[in-house]
Amino acid sequence: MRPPLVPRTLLRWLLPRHAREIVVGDMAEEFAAMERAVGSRRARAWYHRMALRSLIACWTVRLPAPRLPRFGLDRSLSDVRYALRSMQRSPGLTALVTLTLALSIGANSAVFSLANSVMFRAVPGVESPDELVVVQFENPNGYGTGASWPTFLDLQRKASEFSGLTTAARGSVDLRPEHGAPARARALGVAPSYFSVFGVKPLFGRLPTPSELDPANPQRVVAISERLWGTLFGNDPGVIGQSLWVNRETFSIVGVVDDFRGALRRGDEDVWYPLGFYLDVRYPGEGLSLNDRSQRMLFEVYGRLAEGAEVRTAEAQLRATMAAVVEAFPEQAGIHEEYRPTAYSGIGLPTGARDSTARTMGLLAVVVGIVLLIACANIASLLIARGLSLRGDTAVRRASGASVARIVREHLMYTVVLAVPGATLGLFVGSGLLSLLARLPGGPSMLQEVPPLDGTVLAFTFGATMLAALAAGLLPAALAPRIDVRSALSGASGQRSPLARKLRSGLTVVQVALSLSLLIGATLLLRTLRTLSHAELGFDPTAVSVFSIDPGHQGYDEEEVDAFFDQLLADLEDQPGTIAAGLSLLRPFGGGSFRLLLQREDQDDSERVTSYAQWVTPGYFDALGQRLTAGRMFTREELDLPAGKGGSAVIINLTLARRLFGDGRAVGEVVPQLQRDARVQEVVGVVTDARHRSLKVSEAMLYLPFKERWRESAVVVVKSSKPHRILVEDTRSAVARLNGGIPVASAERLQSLVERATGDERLFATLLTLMAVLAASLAAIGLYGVVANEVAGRTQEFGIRIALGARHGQLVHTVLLDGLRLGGVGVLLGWMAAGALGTLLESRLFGVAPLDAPTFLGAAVVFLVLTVLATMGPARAIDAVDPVDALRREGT
Amino acid sequence: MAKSLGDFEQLLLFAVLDLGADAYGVAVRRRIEDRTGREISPGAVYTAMDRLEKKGFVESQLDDGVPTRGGRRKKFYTLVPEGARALAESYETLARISEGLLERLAKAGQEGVAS
Repeated sequence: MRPPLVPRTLLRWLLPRHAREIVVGDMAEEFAAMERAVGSRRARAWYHRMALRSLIACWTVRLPAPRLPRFGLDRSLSDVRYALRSMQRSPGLTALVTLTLALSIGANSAVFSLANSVMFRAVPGVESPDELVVVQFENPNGYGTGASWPTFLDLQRKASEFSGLTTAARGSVDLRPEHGAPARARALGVAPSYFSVFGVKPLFGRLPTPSELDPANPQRVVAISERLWGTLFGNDPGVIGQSLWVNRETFSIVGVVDDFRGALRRGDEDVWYPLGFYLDVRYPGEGLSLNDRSQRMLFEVYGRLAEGAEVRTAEAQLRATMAAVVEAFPEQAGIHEEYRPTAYSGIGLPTGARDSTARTMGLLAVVVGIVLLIACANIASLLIARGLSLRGDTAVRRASGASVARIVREHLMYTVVLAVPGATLGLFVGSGLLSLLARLPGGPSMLQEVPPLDGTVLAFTFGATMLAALAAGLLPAALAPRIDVRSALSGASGQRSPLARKLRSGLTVVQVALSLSLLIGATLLLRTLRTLSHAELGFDPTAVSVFSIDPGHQGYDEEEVDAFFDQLLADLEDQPGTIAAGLSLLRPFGGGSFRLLLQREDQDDSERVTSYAQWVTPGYFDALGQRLTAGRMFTREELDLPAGKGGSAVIINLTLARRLFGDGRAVGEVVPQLQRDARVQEVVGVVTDARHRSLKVSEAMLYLPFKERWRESAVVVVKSSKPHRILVEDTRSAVARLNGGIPVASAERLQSLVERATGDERLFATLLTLMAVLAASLAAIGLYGVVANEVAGRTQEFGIRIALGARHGQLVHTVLLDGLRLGGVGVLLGWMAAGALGTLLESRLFGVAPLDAPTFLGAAVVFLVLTVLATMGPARAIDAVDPVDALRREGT
Repeated sequence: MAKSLGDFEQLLLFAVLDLGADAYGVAVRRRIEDRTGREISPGAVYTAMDRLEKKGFVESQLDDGVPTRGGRRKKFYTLVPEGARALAESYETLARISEGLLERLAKAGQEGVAS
């Protein structure tokens, strides 16, 4: 067995370079011998002990002093030695400070690094992502549209605030390599400047050149991602020059891209081909033209800011250009009068998440700050106590001629040296915690890999605790000149510094208050999660699987698509084990949605109803377990009417029925649509509510017959008694029997989709719980320290009282009451702080009030118990008080 | 120039002398532990030997690494004449000053216990 990791690593890091090899080698050899002789446990204990002592020996016995100039430095070295000796003399204090520092530095940097990488993940494979902005075309309500290629060119021509502006049009496609199975992937038709604006580099081969990408004369070249190279081509280096079918267009692979997977948060881009082929790939045979100003297919515009340019000025420039375009082409580009270019930095974030992300980060920063404060208070409190206990020592040194400056310097050096082991250990704690957190359920879905510990955060955490420690170290130093040598030496107990005592009590109260508020916050979030996991989904996700299938990519026309799905559905329904099978356009909890604004004529604008639309077959309701409460299901006729020719019948859910028609009868009513060209749609049935996008609210839904959909893809929803894995296989073969070229994509259990919807909440609650537990432990350590110090300082008083007939029990009672008084004040303050934190958290809470009384009371009880426990330890020392001894000391 | 030796340094030099060609960190440390019952750390042995080497009392040589040490090399020490002289001198000083006193020392120790 190898020697224990932590001391071994510490030795390797901290031993002087020349000693490292020999000492580590000696230790390893002895460890092996020891292990054979006395067993692994004792050998490990020995190793730990010897590692520490070796370190001390190598750094204290003889530091390389002689050659140094004789001012300053050698004196600091002697201060270091003094500090090391002091640390050895009070191992308890050293351990407490080390523990506090290690936990707070470790936890804070881990949490922040994680949050940082989830929220502000650097975009892989992109050069200086902070210079990049996303441009979206949004109206004041936040709805978006795209730009056309000619409009983009106009914008690009006048974009002097940018060093580059680029665009792409995306969509999922079916890929077919020369050899092997087809696959579904995200592919983009990209503008000539796409790769240069992002600063993308090839892993090997080359990137398509700007002239090959020119829409005026595009070449059939394509670049693929490293991922796709692995999954589709088995990392075959001979992939360059092979051809690749993208839907029904063929391209020649020129290169594999290094690391880059697109600029959106969960980079998912796999294939990049010239924008000039986009319409052929996505809309074959529809006769659309890229140069048509009314074809607004460019939803993604990215820019790299020119040096010194600001996001707002760059946006203003785009808007000015857009205004000119609107004026010149009012018919086609007029829409941009409302949908104006809006630029966002923070390119790694998903659209629409930028505000909530900023809020989450702010909240985390508050929490991390609180824990940091608690840790600082703890260290300050411990050091103040030490300073007081050293008054005698200081007095002797003053009396024997040590200057105040020297004593101050020693105190400061002690503080600095004291922080070293804690900070070192903090590194281990931090990286350990980080890999633990990244593996938590809910974590991996957001992270592609365990992020490294963030250096800036580490430095900041360390700096802040050091500052607090130094400030606390200064206090006893400041007391030094005022110490009355005689009284300090006589050990009289009467004149303990009341200022320092008050300060320590105050710090403890603050700690208790802050950690109580964190505990309450964490509990509220955990209760929210509990409520969410028991939330009325309105449907039963067990045994339901969903698949995405897109026959449109094979060039099927609408009739062929309809026939394909009719056949597939019939096949699936016939399979043994199938309970229900249906189709829908949008994946439940899949992130996509289609929003409608509905308004009855007799309603004013403020009464507009927002509803979401979904296109389904009746099997969809059966698979999810949504029931009809009124009216009827779609008839065969309504279901079979081809797209654009029918669609007068709709089914709505209870929420929409209530919002539109109150408690009155909804069946037979007409749905009032805001769009002018909307067809008359009559409600034929009402179904029970099912949550579709969020677990927290039940939203209004409007269901249309599946064949009314506007896209040639579908989500297949199957409830089956077969295990998911087998169901996936059976569905694959059912599809393959109809057409071997159509892949079955994104096969997932509905249950996982639902769970993922709470991922962010879960991660946040976990982090907060962790911080709360940490804070509570730190507060308990602080409380323990204060009470222990108090008991030690009152030994003589207790001795006298015992001599006068007081019983131990009474004295313990006194100490306990003192502790509880501190704890009680802390709890009261903590409630106030928790009230403030609760309002910050309010938007994240569900099913529990921000001022939930049971939570507040429960947390207070926890803290009072903690107070009693922390007090009981030191209070036991009263038993050991010897009245004779105490009286004798008072006499001297 | 007479360089003085501390008592730990004396222990080390005697151990090196005793071990002869086998004198390297682990062996020296074990020898002292066996003879004195004091637990000492490899780091302390190394640092003190390093100091003795700088004073010119011992010389050292590195061997090739062995697998039990994870491939790390050992440092072998040999006592050089100047070291031997210094050791002899400091031991003799101690012997001279303690001559005839050991009996009284033992007695004083007993009295100390009794009081």
